[in-house]
Amino acid sequence: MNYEQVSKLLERYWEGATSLAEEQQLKAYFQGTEIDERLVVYQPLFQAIVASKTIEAPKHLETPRMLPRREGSNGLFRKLLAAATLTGLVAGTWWFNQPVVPAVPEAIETVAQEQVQVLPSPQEVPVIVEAALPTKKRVQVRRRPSQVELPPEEAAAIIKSALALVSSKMKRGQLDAEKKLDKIKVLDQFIKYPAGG
Amino acid sequence: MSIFQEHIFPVRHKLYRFALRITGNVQEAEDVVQEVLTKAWSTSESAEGAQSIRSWEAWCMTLTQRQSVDKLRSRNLRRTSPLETVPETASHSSIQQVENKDLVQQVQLFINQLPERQRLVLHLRDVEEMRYEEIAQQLKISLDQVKTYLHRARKAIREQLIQHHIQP
Repeated sequence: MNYEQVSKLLERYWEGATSLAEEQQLKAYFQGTEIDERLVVYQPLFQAIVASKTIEAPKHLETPRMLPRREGSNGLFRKLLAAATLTGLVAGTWWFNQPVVPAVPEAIETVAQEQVQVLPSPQEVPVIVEAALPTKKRVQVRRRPSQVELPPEEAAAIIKSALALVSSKMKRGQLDAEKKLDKIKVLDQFIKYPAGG
Repeated sequence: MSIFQEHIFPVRHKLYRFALRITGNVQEAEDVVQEVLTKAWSTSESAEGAQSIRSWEAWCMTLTQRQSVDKLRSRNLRRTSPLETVPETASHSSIQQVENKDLVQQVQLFINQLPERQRLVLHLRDVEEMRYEEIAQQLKISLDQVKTYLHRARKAIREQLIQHHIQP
């Protein structure tokens, strides 16, 4: 384009009357090297416009969380996560509900070892002892080979003494709790609670 | 291909330039685009959003404009200073590649000193090469107003160029 053509186009450009194609022509002209000296004054404007067009968003804006997750892997991960959570909950519930195995069976066994030289019939004793245990979890008492058969009355007496020992242990726990409750009641008298509380 | 990948992500540069033109601040423009992309992504993932929006580009541009203006206003409330765009905008690597950097910076300053509407119309027309109808729709102004703002903006820039006798 020569000077006259560019000047006319520029006049229309200042008026806001050029088309997009004509504006492209002006940008191309002012990006070139053969610019008329009388028009050089306008060159920075078109260079600034073209430079602005090349500005791009920084790379860090293209973070992975912006992009949609791949289908499939997302679903599989969620399913695995749900399955793991459910398994954990079930296992936790089962563990939480397990009764604490008391030391009673050991006591029974100790008593049996101290007081009884020879156990009665091995077929009877474990059944009776298990029935007497207070918890759900039964502990198998080790059987020892018997050398002398005891009469049923004597065997019953031995079992009775073992049960009495268990009962006394349980009662001791109850008594301890009652003593501590009494202490709390005594302390309660000295504590001032706020009004309405 | 998802809505985000097809319609939103490709226009991120345009959104960034638009935010930069309004705020005149690189950090604020980045924040705006980050917020807009995040909101666009969540909206495009929802069933309601995906159906209700016709043009994602226009929607994102409107959101960018709104967020940018909010940033600008809150900054102006904090410190009553004009746009400080030139040093930050001109420090962008792509602009640094331009041979006569100082002159381009000077022109950027002229553009950023224009009233907001004139500045935005000039940007959308000359940089983003949008049609008058699109600009009117984007800025929610009439076609005549677009032409008037564009004429005033270009005339002001021309006067500045002549007045300052910028010579390459």
